[in-house]
Amino acid sequence: MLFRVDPTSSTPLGDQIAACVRNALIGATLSPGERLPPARELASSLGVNMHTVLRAYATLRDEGLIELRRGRGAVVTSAAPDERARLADAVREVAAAARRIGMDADEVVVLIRKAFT
Amino acid sequence: MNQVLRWLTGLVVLPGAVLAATAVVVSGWVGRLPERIPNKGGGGRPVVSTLATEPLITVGLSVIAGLWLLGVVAFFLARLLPAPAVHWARTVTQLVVAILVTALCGALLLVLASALDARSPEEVRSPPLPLAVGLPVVVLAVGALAFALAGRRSSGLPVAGSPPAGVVRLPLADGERVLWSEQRVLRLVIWAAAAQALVGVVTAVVVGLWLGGEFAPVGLVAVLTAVVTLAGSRYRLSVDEHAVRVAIGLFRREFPLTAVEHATSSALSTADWLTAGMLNGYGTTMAPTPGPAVRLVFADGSKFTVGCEDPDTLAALINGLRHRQHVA
Repeated sequence: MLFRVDPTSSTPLGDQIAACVRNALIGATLSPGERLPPARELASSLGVNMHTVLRAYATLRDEGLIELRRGRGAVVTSAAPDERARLADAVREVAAAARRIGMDADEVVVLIRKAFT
Repeated sequence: MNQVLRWLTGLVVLPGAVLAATAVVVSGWVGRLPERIPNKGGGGRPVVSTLATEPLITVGLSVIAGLWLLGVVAFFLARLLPAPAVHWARTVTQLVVAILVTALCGALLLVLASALDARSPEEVRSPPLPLAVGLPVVVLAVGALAFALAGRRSSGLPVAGSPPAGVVRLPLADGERVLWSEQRVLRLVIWAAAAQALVGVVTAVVVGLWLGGEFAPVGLVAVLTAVVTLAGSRYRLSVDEHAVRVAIGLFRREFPLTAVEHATSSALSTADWLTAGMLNGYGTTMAPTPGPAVRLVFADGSKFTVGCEDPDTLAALINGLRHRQHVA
């Protein structure tokens, strides 16, 4: 699978890494049972802090997409991100777009509330 | 550190320093040693036979120096081997020389230290405990240093120019960082290892019942080959802006991206896969199974094929990275 991160983007690097894994799962280029690269290797190749990669992996684990086992690394457990994970991804994009145009979190929440009614 | 300097340090300076230090220490001890030391017995037990101390020192140091020189000769002869084997042959030579010289010098010091200030072979004690315990640690440390000094094999490939205009490239933004990562577990190899282990266990039981329990460990041979086979059950491929790295078990190859002129999507049929070594030269293909692959083309015209699940994307990524490097 292909990891791509852009350090100049307003999206945090950890979110970009997690998004790469989600996209690979949606595109079926990554399937259950496959392993993700070790955090150290990924961090070194992408020039990011290892904790950033670990945070991305932890997010994916919390979404039920991967399993983190000591000595085995990160193993894919789910075929595709569930609706909740997709929503989390969409919210991140909304937050990034809001930051770009200078909106704060409260203003975004107001917009979302309006969309619900 | 420069590779020549590394070899020089690991093969000449390191064993030379150990040998010189031993010679200095031993020459300082000569006046405190008895004329003969126990060959058999001693250290509290009755002395059965003895050895002359000075010839032992002279012969011992000469043998160690001879082994060292033999290692240096073997190191230079390694250049006659095929290119991929040269580095490993030199690494093993350097490692063996460092370990042998340190272990033999340590053993000599250990023997002589127990005879210090003794007036006769009967007064020779057991070797001092700190020296006996410290020797294996020092040998391991020197071995690790020699191994580290050998370093990794350089690809020896020339730096490539810009990729040809017609190749497919993945558009990459300036500063964008990428990693292609592929990891596969080779189930066929795991099954083969399991079968070998089973054969080993069955052999041990059958041979044990047939010829007696002392022959049962014969089955261990198959179990050991199973362990070695199992070590080759992982395939890993990674590509980033620095290098293309591929590994099947313990066999690894790494090519700096600057040496890759361009990459093309390819496919290995079963016949191609089986005959790749014979037709294209051994070490020019690394694919765990027949199927899609990426062919790397280097500046000197040589090629290397690696198995890959999505060769179109990977070839475009490599070409994109090379193009960006060249433009920058």
